[in-house]
Amino acid sequence: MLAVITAVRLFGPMHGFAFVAYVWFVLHSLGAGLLSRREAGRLVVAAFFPGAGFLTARFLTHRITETRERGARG
Amino acid sequence: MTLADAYPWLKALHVACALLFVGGLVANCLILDAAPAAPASTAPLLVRVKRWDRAVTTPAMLGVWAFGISLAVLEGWSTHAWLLAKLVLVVLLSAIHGLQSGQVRRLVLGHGVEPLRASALVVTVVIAIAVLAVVKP
Repeated sequence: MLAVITAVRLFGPMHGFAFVAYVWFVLHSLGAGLLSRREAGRLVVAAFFPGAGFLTARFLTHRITETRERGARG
Repeated sequence: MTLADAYPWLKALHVACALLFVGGLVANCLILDAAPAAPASTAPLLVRVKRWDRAVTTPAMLGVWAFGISLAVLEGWSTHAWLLAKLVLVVLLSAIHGLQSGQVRRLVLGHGVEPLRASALVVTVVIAIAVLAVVKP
């Protein structure tokens, strides 16, 4: 039980900080014009659902590939 | 050095990072207010602000979080109402910084932007954070 309490004390704040960092990156990308408001909203909402991170990763990989192809075409 | 000895050092570093972070945030607010109206004259300053943001403001923001979380864990403040309120305000400032730093980056690349005008909000939030941190109601 003590191990669980210690783990929560240690990882709880880290988990919270990771979430804030994620939202910061989403907002930074929104401000830079890399995401639309809808996409940014989707990414933030996805953070609240277990497992949605995998779909988010797929979406972001697809966007990166798309952006690179657009850049290569000129 | 015991954990109790670490407290004043962690607090000092937390305050130092907070001062640098807020300074950078104010610089972003000012440049985003000025740049759309005078793009030619603010262009060199915009580049400098972007560099400062990357080199100082963003690392300072990370420092605020790291030292703040350390203090909260060390002192057992995680259930105190004043800290929870302060946390909400710091998340808000971090969110404003994220959005504005992205907009500064976009302006430096020469694209148009509808700037987030948050000067008044930043000033109000910073005052509230200072009151919560010092008074701890």
